Amino acid sequence: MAAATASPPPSALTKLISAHTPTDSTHPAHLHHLALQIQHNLQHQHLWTALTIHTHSPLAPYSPLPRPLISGLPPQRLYVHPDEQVELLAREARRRREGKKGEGGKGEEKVDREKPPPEREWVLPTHVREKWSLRRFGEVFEGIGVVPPEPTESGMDEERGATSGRGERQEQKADGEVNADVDTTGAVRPEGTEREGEKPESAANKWRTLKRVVLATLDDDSTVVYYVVHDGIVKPRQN
Amino acid sequence: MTSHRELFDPTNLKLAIHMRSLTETLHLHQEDERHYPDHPDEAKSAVKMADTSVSEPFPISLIANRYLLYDINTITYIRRKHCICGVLIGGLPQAPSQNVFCGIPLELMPEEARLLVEEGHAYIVEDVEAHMAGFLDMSEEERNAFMSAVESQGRDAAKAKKRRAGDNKERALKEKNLHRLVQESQTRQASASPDATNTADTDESLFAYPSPPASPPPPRASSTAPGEIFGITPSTSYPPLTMSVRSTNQPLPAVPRSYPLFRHLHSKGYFVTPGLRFGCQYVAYPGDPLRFHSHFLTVGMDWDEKFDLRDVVGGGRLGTGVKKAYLIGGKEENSEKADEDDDIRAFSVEWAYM
Amino acid sequence: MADVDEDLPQPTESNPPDDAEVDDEVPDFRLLSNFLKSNGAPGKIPKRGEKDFEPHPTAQQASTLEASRQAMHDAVAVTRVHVPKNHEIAVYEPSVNMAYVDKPRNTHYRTMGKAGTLDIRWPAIHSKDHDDGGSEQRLERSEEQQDEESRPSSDYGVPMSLQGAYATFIGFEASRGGSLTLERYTVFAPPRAKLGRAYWEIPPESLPPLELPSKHWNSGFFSKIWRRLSAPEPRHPHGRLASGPLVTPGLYRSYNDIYRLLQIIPSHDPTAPPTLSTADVPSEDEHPFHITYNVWKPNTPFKKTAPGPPDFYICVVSARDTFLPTSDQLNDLLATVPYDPPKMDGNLYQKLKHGYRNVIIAVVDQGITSFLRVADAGFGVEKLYERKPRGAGGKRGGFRGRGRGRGR
Repeated sequence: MAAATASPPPSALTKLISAHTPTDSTHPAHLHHLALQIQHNLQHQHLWTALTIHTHSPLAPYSPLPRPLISGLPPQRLYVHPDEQVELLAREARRRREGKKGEGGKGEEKVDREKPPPEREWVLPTHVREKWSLRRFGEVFEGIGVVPPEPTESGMDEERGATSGRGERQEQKADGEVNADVDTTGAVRPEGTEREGEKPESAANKWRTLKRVVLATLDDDSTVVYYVVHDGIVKPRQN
Repeated sequence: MTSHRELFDPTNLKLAIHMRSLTETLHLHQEDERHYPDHPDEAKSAVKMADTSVSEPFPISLIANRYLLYDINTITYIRRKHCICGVLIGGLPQAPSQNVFCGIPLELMPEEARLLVEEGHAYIVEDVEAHMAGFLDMSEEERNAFMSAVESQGRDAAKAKKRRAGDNKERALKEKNLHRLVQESQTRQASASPDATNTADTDESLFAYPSPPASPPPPRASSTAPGEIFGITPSTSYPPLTMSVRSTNQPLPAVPRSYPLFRHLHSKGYFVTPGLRFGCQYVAYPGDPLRFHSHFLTVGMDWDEKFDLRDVVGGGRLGTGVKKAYLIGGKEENSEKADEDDDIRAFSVEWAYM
Repeated sequence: MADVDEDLPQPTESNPPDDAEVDDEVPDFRLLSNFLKSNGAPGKIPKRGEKDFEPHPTAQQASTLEASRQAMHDAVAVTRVHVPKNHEIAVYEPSVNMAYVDKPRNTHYRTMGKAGTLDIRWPAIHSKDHDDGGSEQRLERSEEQQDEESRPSSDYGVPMSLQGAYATFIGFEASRGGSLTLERYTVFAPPRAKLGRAYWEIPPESLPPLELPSKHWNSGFFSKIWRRLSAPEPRHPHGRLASGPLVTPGLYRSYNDIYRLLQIIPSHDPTAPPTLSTADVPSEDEHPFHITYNVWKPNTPFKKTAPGPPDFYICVVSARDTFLPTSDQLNDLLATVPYDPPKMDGNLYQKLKHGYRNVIIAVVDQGITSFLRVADAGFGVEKLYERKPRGAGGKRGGFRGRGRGRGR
């Protein structure tokens, strides 16, 4: 009978959240819980890598973000601008024609659809019962650049990040360093690394000119839905 | 699509009956054919068309808090010149038994009316006042002058009709053929399931075409007696009303909080139309909706107005299903941008496909 | 991605979004002129046109657009004419803001189903007659003139333009506190025109819905019950709910008995007589949801004296002036229409969709109308545990019904 009243062992998610919520953050604990849960979902359900939780803006003057944001790398390209899509299709058609000529029609089926390389994305963790305003979206965009900064070496190792490094992080955090970004490994990045990340990666993709975040919205049943929010008027994708 | 055979497809039966009633009505009204693009000369001569140029500022009629246009030249003009569509809410006299194509009047959103007035292209006229004053106190001379103008229009319309009489006979013959075809299809339909045409889940089915009436209508003469005068119901009241009556004290049309975003989209070249049927405020098109699919389901609001995040998720989801983005935006407060029209900020939402 | 969202409409090549169907309120008028030119010959179907994603600087796109615009202009430019044979003249009477016809030629006044035209004239009076006794004089005068055999149409006043008709019958009507709004007319006109022979009626007492129109009740049985009961029968939970257990130990021979005991959430019973939530007579502003039109399908045999129950009840509201209805407002709206239960032997989803009472709400947004059907669905009536599993072969899907997907 006694066994029936004992709580079940905490889930992996509960363990992650209780192990990684800072007690002295500029943000309330529930926002950290939210970020950690979304990060967990991205990592294990959608196979994102290089996940980092940011509490402060990567841009000078590195002020605190309105709430912790996540950056990460999806396994494949998340967003293709409709103009880029047109270009990709044109290139594909060209290759198909050339392939036809070269191999006498043999390889025409073999021409792969060109897959654009994945890009790092900003993720905005939210809960579906929140109320928002245009101003709040504006403030989120104020704090971020077009492309999230490159993760630190330790940040790349998200496996370790989920389970270790707690004590280290808390120590560092106690310094109250304003421009410190905390990733899930608990490592604090030196300022220099941040600037490095700021370097416009957008040169790699000429279509990525506007800021965007992936709006991750959590529901009470742990469902997470993902929507892309652009900072501006961006025509819809046609696929 | 173009074969007679297809007519007997049960799903096309509604259409066949629809077309019959349309032809009937055409016949009934002995409509002249001025609207056919291959007879442009008649179009000009039948009823004297107003000069197609529109001089600004032009009047917008205000009745019962709604903004309406009745002049086809103005309607076409603002579409070409000012990227403003409005919504045609009236019937077409040449095709009264359908609701796909609508006619005069054109209803303008208050936003559209306001924009046209603000930019000096138009002014607002209280139509009730103008009509009661203009028509109930009309002098005998005015009345006679206007009547003779209308009669000469009516005479021209009758003449034009007569010119087309030959063609009409041919049409009448065709129509007879159609009647026969439709009646055949009716007998076939009788053996089919009565609910066959009633399964669609749109408002089409709500007002689905009924089974046809039992007896065909009596045939009508299609010839026109010489010297006849048609009655004319003009679209606009100008003339006899004159456009010179400008009330300068009309307040600007009252607009909702979404007006700044409406104006912004319009200034960027978007055509903006009412959006309720997509669950939003406006639908924004990259070009004339006659030719282009819309890009955005739009909701405009104040910078600090609170909204449920659930609405953003719902809007993004709704938009993605019809290949559109959900766009929310408004006038950014505390922005450093000096230009009034430049401080609008909008966010586009699409499903992330993950 | 491990979990593709199955519910999200995913446009694919095999299942493209139905753009043509939903996209547009704006049809391509080029198709109308083709259609009319063919004089209704089969094949020229006025369907929505093909459209492009965005403008390109191509001559072809520009010329297609120009053709569409020209076709629209030409179609809308057509003037309304009245051929002498069917020339029906009516005279506008400002004192009542109506038009009257001396000698009706057509029958469409009786049926309002047949398309017809009317040449409305402004009253032909001199301004000196326009005093307090003016309207009576005009009426008398026109009555006298009724007897004249061949009265030239010029003896009437000048024709009232379409613009004039909207100004008087909608604009002036509003200033007189009349009930014909532009929204109501916008809903009335197009489907009526499309139906050709549909019959529309404005319910005698459209506001307020406190008195249930007794003629709407299809049998005396319900009205009797309605009178007898002031409130729907409350479903009091049994005493066991307070202390439990919900399922008392005992012998059960059927799962249904257990399910019944587990049913602890009270639910609305749509088969019970309706109750109105509002006690006072509400104003139009507070209570915009009431039946505007009773509509009969055109194929029903219709007599004006004995119309039978309408096929649709339509409530017209303006999108900009009206908020989403509250549940009280919906309740009161549904209470004014007759009990219309689904076929009891029908499919579960059809029954839920049909509901026990239903109303069509026509929401007019700046000239564009959306029709929404609201039904009092009996979710609490449909006991899932009472459903019979489907016959042989239905190994797993016995309780699923025909719905799509996960059957939840």
